[in-house]
Amino acid sequence: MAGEQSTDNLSGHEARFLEAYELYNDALFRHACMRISDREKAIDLVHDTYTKVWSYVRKGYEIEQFRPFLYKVLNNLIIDTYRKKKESSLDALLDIEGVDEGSFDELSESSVEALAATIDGRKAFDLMDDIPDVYKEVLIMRFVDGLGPKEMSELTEEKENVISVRIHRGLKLLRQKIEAQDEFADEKRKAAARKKAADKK
Amino acid sequence: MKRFSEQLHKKSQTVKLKKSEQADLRERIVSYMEYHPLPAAMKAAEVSKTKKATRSTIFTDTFAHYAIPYQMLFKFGSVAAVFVLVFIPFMAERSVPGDTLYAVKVQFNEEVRGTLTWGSYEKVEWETTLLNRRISEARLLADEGLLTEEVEAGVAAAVKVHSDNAKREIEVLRASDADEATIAEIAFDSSLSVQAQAFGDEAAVPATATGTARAGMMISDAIGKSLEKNPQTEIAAVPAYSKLMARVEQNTTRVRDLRDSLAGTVSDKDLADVSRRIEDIERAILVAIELSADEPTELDARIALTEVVARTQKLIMFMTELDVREQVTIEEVVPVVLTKDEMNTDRSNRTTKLTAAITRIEAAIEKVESPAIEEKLVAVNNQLAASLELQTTIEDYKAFVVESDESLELAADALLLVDQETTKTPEAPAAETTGTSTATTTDSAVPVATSSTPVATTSDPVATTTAENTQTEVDEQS
Repeated sequence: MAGEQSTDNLSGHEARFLEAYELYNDALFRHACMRISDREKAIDLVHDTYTKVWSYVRKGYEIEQFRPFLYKVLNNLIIDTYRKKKESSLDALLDIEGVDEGSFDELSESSVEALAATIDGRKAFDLMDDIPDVYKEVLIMRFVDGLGPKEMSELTEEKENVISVRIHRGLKLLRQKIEAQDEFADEKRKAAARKKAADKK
Repeated sequence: MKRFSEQLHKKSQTVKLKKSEQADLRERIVSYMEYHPLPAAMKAAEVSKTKKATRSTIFTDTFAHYAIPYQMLFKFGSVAAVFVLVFIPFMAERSVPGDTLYAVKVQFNEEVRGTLTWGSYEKVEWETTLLNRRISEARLLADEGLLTEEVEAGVAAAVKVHSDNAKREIEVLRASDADEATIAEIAFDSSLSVQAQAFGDEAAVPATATGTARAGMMISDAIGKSLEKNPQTEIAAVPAYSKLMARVEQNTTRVRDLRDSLAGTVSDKDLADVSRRIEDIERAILVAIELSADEPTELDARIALTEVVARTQKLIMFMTELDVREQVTIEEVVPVVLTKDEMNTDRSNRTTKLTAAITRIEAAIEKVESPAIEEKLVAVNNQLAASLELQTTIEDYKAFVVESDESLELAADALLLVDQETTKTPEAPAAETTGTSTATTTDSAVPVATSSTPVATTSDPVATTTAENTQTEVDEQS
């Protein structure tokens, strides 16, 4: 991801950095915006991400691939934002949710596909804010940013199995939310129909 | 799942920065980069890596910066400097008046070297070198038929300038060190006299001649004027013995080095000639050392060393200036100095030749028919006999040579008269025998007439010495 030692190979750093900005600024903003649900704050986080990466470049470190490095920095900044809010720390969330190695079903990719096939993506997008960030993070990475399990593992510093479990559970949670929403909508619609019928009578 | 992914992805694409937000964010980041630029060392490394000047396209015009390719400039500058300061001056050293690079040679190379010359003595030497160079250039042009009057006038002016400069430096030196100034003057005059000798031969053409035939006349005049002493100049005292000896040591060392360097490039005879002059000089030094031992003869020792300095200087000049070697012989520049044995041998030879001439004249007196000629021959014979007697009493070799030359010249004239008379007389059988005898005698006496010319077939140094040269030497020693 990023070289840990200083190098003299700094040719075209500014150009490469600006190129990385042009390529990933929108994706990073989308990721941040979906994670924290605050447009202005997301812009600031993207800005801070790029300035931190630039500072890193100025110290003489070489960045081989900007994309994972930018995501890593942005992810750390988002976690910091959560911690500052102290609404619910990641550790607390992990404790509450009791994320473990998961069952075979949760680790199976086919089960994730099967589960996802049952979910309406548009509804899932609207309900993304309703699920804990630990799931939202991996779901956004996987389905919005298109990151692979290995990249996600490096970004979150979790094992791939844990990532898979979180995706599975996140989807499951989303489906539950969607189902709950659908049921609520059905009931609401039924109630409205009943009210309408009663009014007619 | 594909459907879910597509739906979610498509929906998520609606979340994006507005154009204004994107521009604003970019400006903020670029501003940050401008206020936190890369360290200079990193930029330099970047420039060296790319090896070309790059203009950053990422910054606004306000902060646009240009990378000056110092390294490239330095490299090209170095190459240009080497070309200007080394190659061109090197090529200019071979130029002659009229060449494009001649100005570089005279106004740059020589000025720089002259500026780096410290000390009045060294400056005199440098001016002498410059003078020699100008003369060599003129000689080169004259050989090629390119010495125009304009160029010759320029060279003559340069000779005068360098000569004046040398004399001025000598006077400057005289104020601080009179002995050193005198030695410098001797060296300068010696070099100039060699050039005068070399140029004298070339310029010895009729004044009515034109073009290249008269090439060198102006230069020769300039050298001649440079050699003239200002009558108001005080006659310099003979330098101190120690200073003279020091200069002699320097010059003799240089002469030996030059002799060694010539080995293999010149003929054995030329090398032997040089070695002979070195031996003469060493002998003269030994004599001077002996003379310096006694206080009354100390001045003579200094005078002898002064002469040695002049001779060594001439020899150095002869060996270092190739064009001088081509114009004059070493005998003309530095005549041989005979040893005592050689003097005795020469004295004996001269006496023998004169005696033979007298014998032949006496024989001719008896046979000649014309009373007038007989009278003349008798008078000459008496004069020669008196001279022969006088020569036996003269101890000084130089005085002997003068007397001997005169008597031999007279004898040669008398024998010429005898030969003319012999050819006029009708040959009788008896007289024929006598005539044959006379002719034989004449043949044997031919050396008398040619005694004043060198006998080149013998390696005896005495034989290679001409009467003329001996006379020159005698004059110089006088």
